[in-house]
This record gives sequence, structure tokens and C-alpha cells, in this order.
Amino acid sequence: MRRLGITAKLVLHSALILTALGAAVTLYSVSQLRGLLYRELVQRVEAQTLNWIEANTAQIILSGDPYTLERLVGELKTREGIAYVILLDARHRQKAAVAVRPGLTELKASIPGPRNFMDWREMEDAAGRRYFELTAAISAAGTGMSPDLGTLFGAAANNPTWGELRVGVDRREFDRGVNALVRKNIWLAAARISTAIALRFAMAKRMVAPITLMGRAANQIAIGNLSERVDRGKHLRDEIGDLVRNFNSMALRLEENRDEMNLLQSRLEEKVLERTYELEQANQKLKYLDQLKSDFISRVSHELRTPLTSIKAYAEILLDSSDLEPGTEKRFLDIIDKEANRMSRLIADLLNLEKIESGTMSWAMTHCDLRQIIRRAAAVLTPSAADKDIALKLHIPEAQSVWADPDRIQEVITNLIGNGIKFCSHGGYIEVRMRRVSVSGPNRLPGRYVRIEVIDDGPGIRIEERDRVFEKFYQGTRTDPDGSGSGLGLAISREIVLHHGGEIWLNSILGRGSSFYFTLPLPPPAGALRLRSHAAREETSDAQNRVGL
Amino acid sequence: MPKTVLVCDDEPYILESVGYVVREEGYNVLMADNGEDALRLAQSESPDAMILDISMPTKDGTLICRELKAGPSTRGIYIIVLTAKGQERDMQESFRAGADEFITKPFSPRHLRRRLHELLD
Repeated sequence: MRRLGITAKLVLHSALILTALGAAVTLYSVSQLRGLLYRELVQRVEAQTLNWIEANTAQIILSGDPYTLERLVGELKTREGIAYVILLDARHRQKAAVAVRPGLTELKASIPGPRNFMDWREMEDAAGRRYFELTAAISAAGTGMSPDLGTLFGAAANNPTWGELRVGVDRREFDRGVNALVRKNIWLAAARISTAIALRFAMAKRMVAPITLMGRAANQIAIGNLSERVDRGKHLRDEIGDLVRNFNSMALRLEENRDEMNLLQSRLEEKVLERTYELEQANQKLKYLDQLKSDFISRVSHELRTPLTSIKAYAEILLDSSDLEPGTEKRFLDIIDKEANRMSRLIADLLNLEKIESGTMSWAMTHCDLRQIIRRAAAVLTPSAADKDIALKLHIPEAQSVWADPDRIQEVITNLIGNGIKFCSHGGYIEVRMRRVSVSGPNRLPGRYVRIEVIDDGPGIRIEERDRVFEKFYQGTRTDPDGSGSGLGLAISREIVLHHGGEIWLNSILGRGSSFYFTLPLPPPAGALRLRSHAAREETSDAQNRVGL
Repeated sequence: MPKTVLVCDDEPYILESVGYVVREEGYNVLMADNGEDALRLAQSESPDAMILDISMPTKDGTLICRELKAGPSTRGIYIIVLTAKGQERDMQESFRAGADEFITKPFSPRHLRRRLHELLD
């Protein structure tokens, strides 16, 4: 079964109440009207009858002529509402009658009239028609006629009453009027009720509309449309207005809560993504380090295999050949010796690099003269430079005290000059310079530094290789001309320079030569600051020495 | 007419030792110390066999293998890869590139001599 809507319920209730009220009011007013009409009828008939009696008594009494009596009675019958008239004398003999129906009998002896002194009865004829009948006495006394005159006629000498008049009023006439009134009243009531219901319907619809809208909005909210609001009835100053406002504020709060939750959720997701990303990064880094390690191991094994291959090959050749020329034999043994040296150098370099990188290298930090260190390195390499007819020149104007491990710094300089000698062609040129600068190097850290430059006129290095040459075992597109390098020299040099707080880099023009640079920090120049700084450095170095030892 | 063997290696001492062994066995020796020279010599001289290092400057040994095996006139050269890269995947990569034989460093000259005779005589 279909539910009844609020509008329908309200209208139905109103209709029931209004109908009941209307019916009651109609019934009441009809009964009131009925009484009123009845009274009016009675009064009119009584008045007409009395008028007639007053006007005609004398003539009735005096004449007694039946023709005259008939005429008089007929005259009364023509008055409004009067159905029949009967005139009786004192002895109840009918003197005259007009329009009397046959079989007229008394139905009710007395019905109350508005005036107590007049006598009303209810009558019925043979055909079943009903009448109200008024009985009025005709007497000389009531006419204003002189009693003497009555006496004169004898008729009323002893009895003042001459006879009586019965006047019938057709009850149907009365009922017709009443019915018409009742109908009119019922129609009016029906019109009133339907107007009221129509108004009620319109009002109910107006009241219910916001509720209907709220229902729709609630549906929208249920499916997630939290920005839905109800516009109708927002300004109503009644319960529905309150409901609409409460509904809207509930929707607003829901929406705010959802937005807040969404925000929290997206923040959470963001955080999860961030963490995932970090984990991925860490994982990538680990993978990268792992890859680096395995690359390094295969690099090292390759680098060790190369001299080992020569040693093995030449040793076997020497073993298998009984008739080698003495010069060839000597040369093969030389190669074996060189390659064995290369292997031990490689191993020593690897161990050194590992120590520096893992922080277990022992650094013998001290105040030392950089000029002396450079001179020593140059002296060691002068013979091999001379072998290739390379001019090795030093431009070092003065002594320069630095806080450094002199052996390691000498190793750096030896590496750089040695590389120059290795790659320069015969008759080349190498120059070492030293100068004080106020920035560290490519990173441009301000401060006091000394910069050492090793310049050659060798083949130069491609731009894309300038950083890679400092990587371990990086060979690039050039072959080590004498095969003596470990592939670790520049990597070790970089570690040493970085450990001292300097930078190492290079410039090069392909085909014209390369310049390698490295810087070492200098202590601040002036008194107290210098002392403090020295003390701090000594402390640092002591600590490092202890760790190293 | 003696057979010709092309030897390619960027390590001078290894190049010299392999060349020495091949020559001692009575074959003609061609030598290259980088990939581009090796490819050029292989194409112009059409050697009977080739002893090829993998990691070399200017051109990788694997690439040389692939190019020679793709050329109609060089397809017949017997390629022995001689490399310090001794891992399984290095070997498979070489074979995929068309190498006929794979020897790891350090190598035995005695073994190399025997293989050359088996192949070329």
C-alpha cells in the first residue's frame, strides 16, 4: 500500500474536521432557520387572520348570508400561504368553506405557536397532505363592535362568541421554503469547506515543500554529495525553518568533516608515498653501492689479471723454449719483473685507498715546507723525465709552510708529475707552480689557500672525462702508454687532498695539454687567531693520529 | 703459404707474448693494439684466425666479433676471444656475438699453440 504523504494527511484531516464542523454548523443553522421561518409563517398567518377577523366580524355577524360569508372567506384564502379556510358558528356548524380537501382530520391536537393565546393544530387530508391549522374565535367582543349591537342581533346576546375560523396552511409550502434554505446552506457550507480545503492544500504544500527538498538533499548527501543544501524555507520562522537550518548546518559539518578527513587521508598518503620514496631511494642507493662494490671487485680482478697474464705467459714461454736468444730471454724476464712490480704496486695502492676511504689511514700531520716536498718529488722523477727528454720546471719563489702529511702530499705531486711524463710525447714540457689564493677551487670556498699547479703540453683530456679521471681504474679512451699505472693514482690523490681540506681539479685543451690543480688550506695570518687555530688543528691531528695508530 | 693470425690486445706485453707464440709456431702474425685497427686489418687482410681481447679502447671486442660475423668476406675468420673478463655472462655474450672459442687470461701459451695447430693445419 502506498503511504500517504504529509500533504494528503494534513488535507484529509482538515477535510474531516471541516466537514464535521460544517455539517454541525449547517444542521444548527438549518434548525434555527426552520424555527425562524415557522415563527414568521405563524406570525404572518395569525396577523392576516386577525386582521381579517377584525375587518369582517361585524359583517359576518350581521349578514349571516351564506353568499357573503363565502365571498369573505374566499377573500381570506387568497392571502399568501393560506391553503383553506373554514368558518364555523358557535355550534360548530360550517357556515362557509373554501378549498377544503376531503377527509381532513386532526393529526396533532396542539402544536406550539409563537403566541400562546392562539390555537394551532396539525391536520392531514385523505391524500396525506399535511396542514398547520390555526383556529381563531370570532366574537363581537374582540371586534370593537358595541355589545349593544350584538344584543340587538340576538345571536350573541348570551354568548359573546359567534363562532370560529379555521385557517389551513399547506405544510408543503413551508417545507419547500425550508428545503430551499437548507439546500442553499448546504451548498454554501460545501463551498466554504472546499475553499478551506483548497487553501489548506496550498498551505500544506508550502509547508511540506522544504521537507520534500530536504528528503532529496538527504538522498544526495547519502550518495556523497555533501555540498547539497536546502534553499526553500531557510528564512521560515517556524519549526520547519529550524529543521531546514539544522539540516543545512548538519550538512555543512558533514562536509567539513569529510574535507578534513580527505585532507588527513591525502596527507597520510603523501607521507606513505614520501616514506616509500625514501625507502626506494635507500634501496636504490644500497643497490648502487652493491653494484659499485661488485664492479670494483671485477675491476680489481681484471687489473690483477693483466700483469698476471704477462707473468704467466712469459714464464711458460721461457720454460718451454730451450733455445732463446739471450737478449730475448733477458727482455722476457724484465717483463716478468716489471709486471710483478706492477701487481705489488696495485695491491699497495688498493690497500692505501681502502685505508683512506675507511678512515683507518694514519696521517703524520706536521708543519712542513711545501717547496721542499715539491722539490723532492721532482728530484725522484727527473730521471724518467730526462729519459723522454721532457723539460721539468719548477716555479716556486719561496718556502711555504703548510699543515700536512708531507709523504702523502709528495705522493700527490709525484702522481701528477708522473702522469704528465707518462702522457707527454718525447721532448715535452712540464711545469710546477705554486701560488697563494683566496678561494679553495671549483667549490669556491673562501679562505686562505695555497694552490699547486702541474701543467703539461700533452694530448689533453676530453671535457666529458675531466671528472671521471679521478675515478678508480678509469682508463678512458687513452691507453696507459707504458702499462705501469695501477689506475688508482688520481683516485688516491683526490682522497689525500680532500683529507687535507683542499680540492683537486683539472683544466685541459685537447691537443694542447692539461693543467692539474690542487689546493691546501693555510692557517689564518694574524696572532691570537692563528694560535687558537693551530691549537685546534694540533688537537685534531692528535686525535687523528690516535685513531690511526 | 703459411696461415695468417691477427692478434689484438691493448696491453703491449700481452700482445707481444701472444704474437711471439703465434710466430714461433710458424704462422704469419698481424698485430693491433686497439679495436678500430683490429677491425680494419681483419677486413683488409682476411686472416685465417683471430685472437681478440674484449676490453679495448676505440672498439670493444664483442662489437668486432659481431661486425666480422655479419660481413660475407670476414664471416669465415675463426675468432678466439682471449679476455680477462672470465665470468659466465662474458663468455655467453662473446658466443652470442659470434666468437668461436673463449679463453680466459691468464692463458697458457702451450694450450694456445695446440689449439692453433688443431685449427689451422
